[in-house]
Amino acid sequence: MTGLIGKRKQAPCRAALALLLSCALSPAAAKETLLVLSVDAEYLESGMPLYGQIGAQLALIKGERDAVALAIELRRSEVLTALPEAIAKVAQAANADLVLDRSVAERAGEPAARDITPEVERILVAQFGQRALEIEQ
Amino acid sequence: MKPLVLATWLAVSAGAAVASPPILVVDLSEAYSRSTALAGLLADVDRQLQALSARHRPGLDRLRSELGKLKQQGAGTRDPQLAIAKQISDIETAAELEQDQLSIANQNAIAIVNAAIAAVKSTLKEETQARIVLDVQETQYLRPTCACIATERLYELLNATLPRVELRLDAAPQ
Repeated sequence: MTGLIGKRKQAPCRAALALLLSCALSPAAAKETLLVLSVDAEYLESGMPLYGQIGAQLALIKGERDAVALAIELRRSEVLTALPEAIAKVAQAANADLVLDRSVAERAGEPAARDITPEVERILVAQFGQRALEIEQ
Repeated sequence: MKPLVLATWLAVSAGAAVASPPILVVDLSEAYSRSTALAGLLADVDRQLQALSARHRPGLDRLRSELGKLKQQGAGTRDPQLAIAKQISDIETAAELEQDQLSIANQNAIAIVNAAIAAVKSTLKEETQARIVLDVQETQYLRPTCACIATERLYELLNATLPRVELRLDAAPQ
């Protein structure tokens, strides 16, 4: 009778041991999960309509053509400078570990990583879409 | 130790030992100071450049000074002027050749370090069972505290496998 009680007491412990060990040693559990997001870097760096919108001002603004062209180049460069900050802003809001370009995400085995390109684009459009060019006279 | 406590301890410690992210990121931007091989190479190249300068500079300075004096003396010294100009040109050519050899030796040494870095990345991938090891330049954003950052381990392995690289001035281009 005592032996039976003893075995009954040990059973949950053995089950717990087996469960914990299997959890700890299984490859799935061994991997720390990362929150990976993706962007279409090429689109954000050169394909966004925002760049076309900035470039179109060359035909609209009266003034020295070279000065306007220079102002457009500077504005495009400002957008590119702001791009990493915009990506970081979205990433931090999502509490992400990594943001990768779509092609890198696929190479890294994360093809289903959430695409934050539209959110990043929205930030850049809000920041630069309505801002007038600064033309040196 | 009671069985349940033991099981928990085993599970936690085993889990902690093998837990690793599926993607690793390394930052090689400080390789010239963090890699002992590259830091040594940089110092060697610097020493060689100083030695090269010390070998040729005094002779060049002396010849240029002589040439200046001869020019002041006038057209009668044309032949000695030409002879000195030729000596200056020869020294400059020799110095350029030595510089080229140094540059090739430097490139060869860097290629050795690059190969070691590639091997270390493979080792890192194997030991953590990660899917990929990315350079930080390949990322658009990296959380500064991300568990995926493996830069320290990379330099640890790199400095253990290639503590030094030789600057071989006699070696042919690779």
